[in-house]
Amino acid sequence: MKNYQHIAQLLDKYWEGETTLAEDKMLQTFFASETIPVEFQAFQSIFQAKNDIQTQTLSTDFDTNLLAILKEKTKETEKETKVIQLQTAQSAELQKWRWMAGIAASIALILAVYIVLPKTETVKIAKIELTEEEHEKALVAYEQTKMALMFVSATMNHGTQTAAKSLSKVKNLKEVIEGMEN
Amino acid sequence: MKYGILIIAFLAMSFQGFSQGDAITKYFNKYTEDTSFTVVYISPKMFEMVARLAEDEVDAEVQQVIKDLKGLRVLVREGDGTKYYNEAVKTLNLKAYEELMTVRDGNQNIRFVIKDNGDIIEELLLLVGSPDEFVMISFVGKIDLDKIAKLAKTADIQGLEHLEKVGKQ
Repeated sequence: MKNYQHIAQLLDKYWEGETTLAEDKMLQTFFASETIPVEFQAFQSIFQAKNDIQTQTLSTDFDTNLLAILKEKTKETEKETKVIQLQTAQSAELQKWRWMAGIAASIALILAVYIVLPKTETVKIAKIELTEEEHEKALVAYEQTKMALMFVSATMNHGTQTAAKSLSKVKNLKEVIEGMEN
Repeated sequence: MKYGILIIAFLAMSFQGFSQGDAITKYFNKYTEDTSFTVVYISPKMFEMVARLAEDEVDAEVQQVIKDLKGLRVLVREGDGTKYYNEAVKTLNLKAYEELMTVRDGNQNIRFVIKDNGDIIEELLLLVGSPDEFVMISFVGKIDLDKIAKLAKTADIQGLEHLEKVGKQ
């Protein structure tokens, strides 16, 4: 029983946090043993757990595993940072484009004003009726042109007819006839 | 360097344009004062006005052809046609043109030449010479030969008169 008294004392000391490393070890070995009195059984789990933790060792590939995990983690974070950088780059580009689009749109607008306005003016001018004198001149010019065109047209047709009659006298006969027939 | 080529090309084009126009203009001007010639000149400005004529005042087919024209010169002389025809053929630089049609029918000579730029005919020159008549017609602009050829076929009496007249000679 002395032994148990000693254990009780050690436990008291332990709870006070005053045990030495050697005394801790003694307690641990005591609780690791199989014969433990009922009064101490409540504490057994504490010291057993402690014992277990202390006896746990790292597996040999722990370092390599950890390093591998770390590497992976850093890669992921790198990726993330890259993505973030890319996004910021894209948004910067986008903003640049928006700027340029804005400038282009304003230029287009100004150009449109300059191009469309004179055009509508010319259309207006074209719609203005000819003066009496101009109208007469235009009619004469039209008649003259028409006559000339008719003469050219008739001569052309006459030429092809003649060509059809006297093949030997005509150059480019085939082309001409084909042209006329089309 | 690029600009240099462009400028040279532009100059070459303008020179070519001038040389063609000048030969015909010169020839026309030579006879402008000669009262035995009937001279017609219709300027680009005039063609603009013609294009503004109301639809009911013109024939649609004719106007279709006219709207693309920029200039017209007509020179007509009664009598001595062959002489003037030969002179015109000699004087005008016809080598610059592409021959479209040459017809000799009895004592009548007909010569059609064109100047084209790709598919577009930009100038049409017609020379007709017979003992009775000398005719020279030059059209400048965008010329559609098919449309012109169809004019006389779908023509009114005036066109037919010309056709008959040409046929008799």
